[in-house]
Amino acid sequence: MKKIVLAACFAVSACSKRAAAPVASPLQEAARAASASSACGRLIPAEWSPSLPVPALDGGRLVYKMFFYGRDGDPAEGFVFHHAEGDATLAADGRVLSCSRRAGPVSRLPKFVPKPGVTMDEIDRRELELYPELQNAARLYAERRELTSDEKKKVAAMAEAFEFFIEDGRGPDYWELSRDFWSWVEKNGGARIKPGRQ
Amino acid sequence: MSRYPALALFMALAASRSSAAGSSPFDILAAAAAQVRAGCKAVPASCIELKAIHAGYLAELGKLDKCAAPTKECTPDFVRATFLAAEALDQREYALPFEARNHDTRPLLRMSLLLSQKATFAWAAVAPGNAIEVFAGVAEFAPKEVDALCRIGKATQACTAANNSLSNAQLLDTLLLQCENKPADEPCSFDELDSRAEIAETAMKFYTRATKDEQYQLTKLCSFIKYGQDRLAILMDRDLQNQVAGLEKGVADLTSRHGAVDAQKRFQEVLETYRQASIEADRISSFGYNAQQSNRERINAAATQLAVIRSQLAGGAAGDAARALASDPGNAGAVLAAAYEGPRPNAGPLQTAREAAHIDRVSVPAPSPAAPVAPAIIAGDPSFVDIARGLYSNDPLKRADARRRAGLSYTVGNPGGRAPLVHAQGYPDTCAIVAQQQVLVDRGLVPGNDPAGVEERLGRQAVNRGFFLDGTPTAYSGSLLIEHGLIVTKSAGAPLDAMDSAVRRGGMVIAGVDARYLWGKTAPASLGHAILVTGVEIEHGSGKTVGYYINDSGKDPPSRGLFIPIETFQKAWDAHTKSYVEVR
Repeated sequence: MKKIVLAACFAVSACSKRAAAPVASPLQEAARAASASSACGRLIPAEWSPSLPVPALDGGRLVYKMFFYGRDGDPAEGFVFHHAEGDATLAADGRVLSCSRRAGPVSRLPKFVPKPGVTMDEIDRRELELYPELQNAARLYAERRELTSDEKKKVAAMAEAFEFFIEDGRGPDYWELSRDFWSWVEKNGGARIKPGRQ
Repeated sequence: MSRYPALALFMALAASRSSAAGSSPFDILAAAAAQVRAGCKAVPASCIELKAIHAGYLAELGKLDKCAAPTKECTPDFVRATFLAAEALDQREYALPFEARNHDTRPLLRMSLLLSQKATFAWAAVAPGNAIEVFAGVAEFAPKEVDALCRIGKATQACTAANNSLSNAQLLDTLLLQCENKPADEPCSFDELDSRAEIAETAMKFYTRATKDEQYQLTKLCSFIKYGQDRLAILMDRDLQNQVAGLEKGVADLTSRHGAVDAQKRFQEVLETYRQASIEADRISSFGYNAQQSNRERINAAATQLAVIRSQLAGGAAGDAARALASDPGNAGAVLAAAYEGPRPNAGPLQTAREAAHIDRVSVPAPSPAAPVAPAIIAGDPSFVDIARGLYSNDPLKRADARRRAGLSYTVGNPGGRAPLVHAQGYPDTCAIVAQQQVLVDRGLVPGNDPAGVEERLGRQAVNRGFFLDGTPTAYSGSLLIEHGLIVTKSAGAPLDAMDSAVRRGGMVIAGVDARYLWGKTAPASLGHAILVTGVEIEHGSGKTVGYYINDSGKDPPSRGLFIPIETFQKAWDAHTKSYVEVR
């Protein structure tokens, strides 16, 4: 009886409409799933975290480079992330062109400390917002021309948004991924990624 | 087409290693110029040759500018000549006195890699879909590289690892020749090829123990291993075509001979063909060979049918359920209820049917109970009012709990029965091992009373078989289950609906997820993780999924039958690889 009454109550209440969730860009989808691509599917453990993709020019062609890294620890004790342990190159449309592993001993970042007050909702929102900015910056970078002051502001904003996703000690990994891009960012809007940044 | 069709691949690999070291073309050219000056100073007699090699690289790089955009001059022959030139220049550099080369960073070799990288991209543009037919004597040069590394004397560990890698690569080369020289109608068997695959994995494993600087001195060794992997992939791909065709034929045969007296024996034969085809498909993917993507789909389709046949052979309720589920997978609850009316005894009809059919008892899954017990979504004994409030709660967990308590949803799967299978994983990277372990324990294939010991053993097995590389790559997720004779289907890049259908069939599903959402942890990048999905909560009437029950080994104590609302699971799914393995 209790169940029937409750069911009736529930039936009266209309389900509240939910706002449509923002959709991830194809590049974001590709970066998330890169470790399972045919190029990386065997090389890169599914447990490894993917970096954000960084624009690069390869023979004049725009590509995105990203790296993967493992971790130690557990949810209770916290995590120690590794420096980059594998790499992938994505075409501008998100196809994974190549994948490789780095060799040598594992190198670790300082113990990860989450930014205080930041929620996963905020991280998700910022990531969704970053991708269009990143792809816009990539387009400007590939054009290799003088930027207008408005474009430079956008590049600077992108760099600032990107900075949010870089853990302490991770800077060199991103710098090494595409030095030329970060140098271009620095020239056009103020670099946030510096070699040796800790 | 040559039998060495993947040079472009290992050139790409070498090129990516170059980029892995963070070297821009400018760095490489500057370092090479500096090396020429230093080499001339160290060995004046080699100065002319050093300069000539350097000039040769610059000239070849300049020529490739013609391929920056499509031109008539940039033909396959033109690009092929560049590859050969890079190889020839590299050999000339190698012939220089030791002191004339910077053996730590090999700047001239890096020019060669840069040249190869550019040529690889040019080749992809002028001859898309065709592998380049060039191969130079890496088998001869690899031992010289290892010898040179060991002569430095400051890298003993690297020397040992390089020698181990080299001896495995040489063994692989010899054994592959045996297969390649066999008549076409008597090719190497799966077992022969698979043992060679293990050697190839071992060779690469030792190679990757070198630091990146050491790897610059061992590029020919890398190419030698890759060369072996490519040849093996070609042989395996040929075998795989026969295996998949044999699997499909076997399944069709079993379907048409339902009830035949020798059906059990034939089933075991087909099951073995499935195992071989599945492992072979993963191996080929492992070696980066561009095999047909449809192989995995064909194997999945055959595996689905094979699982139904297996249950039919078992007869009784399991067979009925399997047939009904195959025809109406969305109606799992009703089907299972019909198959098992009333309380199911411990050694139920399935057990009897297995014994009667003489089927290996462990290979047949127990269907999920018709009225599964699920752990509490939220522990406690809420009042009527609390439940009523919960129905309107904005918290999906409270809402799901209230709905279930109000009888508005029902459970499919066996989250309560499967909850005890999980233990906290012993290592940060063994989640997929433990997820597979739970399935194997459930099927009685490994003991359940020593979880840590079994995790160790399965981990070692996975390493030895090449299924584990500091974690489980997606391609090898579920491969331990196949090795133990289970039937699984693998999917990557799938929508959550596909995994949802799998869970609704009542079996166990290993899913790849971003654990940040499950653990309530904030981090800037996803935390890849494998969990076992043991059941699903479905809303009456609408049939919508309310959430999933999972066993999660990543926490200590582990989560046993933890309910995850669909909203949360969707996020965890979307932020990762959208991959799952369904145990059939």
